[in-house]
Amino acid sequence: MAQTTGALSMVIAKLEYSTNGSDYTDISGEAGNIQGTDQSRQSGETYTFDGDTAIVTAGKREPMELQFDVVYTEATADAWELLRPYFEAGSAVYFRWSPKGGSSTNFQYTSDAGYLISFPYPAGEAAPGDPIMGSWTFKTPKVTKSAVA
Amino acid sequence: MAKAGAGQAKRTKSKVAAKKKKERYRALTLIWHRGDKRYYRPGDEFGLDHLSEASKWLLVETQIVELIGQPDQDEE
Repeated sequence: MAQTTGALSMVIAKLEYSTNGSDYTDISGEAGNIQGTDQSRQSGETYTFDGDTAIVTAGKREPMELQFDVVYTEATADAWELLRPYFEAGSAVYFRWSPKGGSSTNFQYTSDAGYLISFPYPAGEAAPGDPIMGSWTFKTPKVTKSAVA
Repeated sequence: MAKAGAGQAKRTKSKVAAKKKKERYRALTLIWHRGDKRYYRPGDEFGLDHLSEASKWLLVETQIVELIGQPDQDEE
């Protein structure tokens, strides 16, 4: 089979959040890493006297814990300050991302309503001079793939 | 006479615009509609007036949507 020419990197990905599931805010300029996108399905297994292999059954999909690495900034319109109140109030938010940037025909992965379950307040050491970063953990039942039109 | 000609041209122009506006599409997969800010499931019908002709063509070409015509064009 011929080698694929459709491979992608995440260099132009777009990450957005929403508080209502329809109006999204682009935070690609402050986020630099999306992780935890794997989802597990519960499964069971048992053995019988007959046969040599397990009987396997499938259960429900487990929730996902997505992680977003975000640059700490203090402007009120920036992602950090926009999302902090939602963590502190325990209010639901939505996230979605598009590896190709969210233009027409691009695929997009949208979370269900979920909660920021871990939100870092600024931390760091004196020496390296690196930008303050933080990793948000967002728990959601699932993400749904769609195409952008 | 010249006035009538201009009116005719105007009517034809607006008819073309109306026809363009009424293009309807059907989703072939789950899509996020940036104009309506909502999802459409496969089989749902909608317009794509927020997109350029090139973008519409690309969506049809990549089989994300299909053009189902202009249902109201004959009513003009």
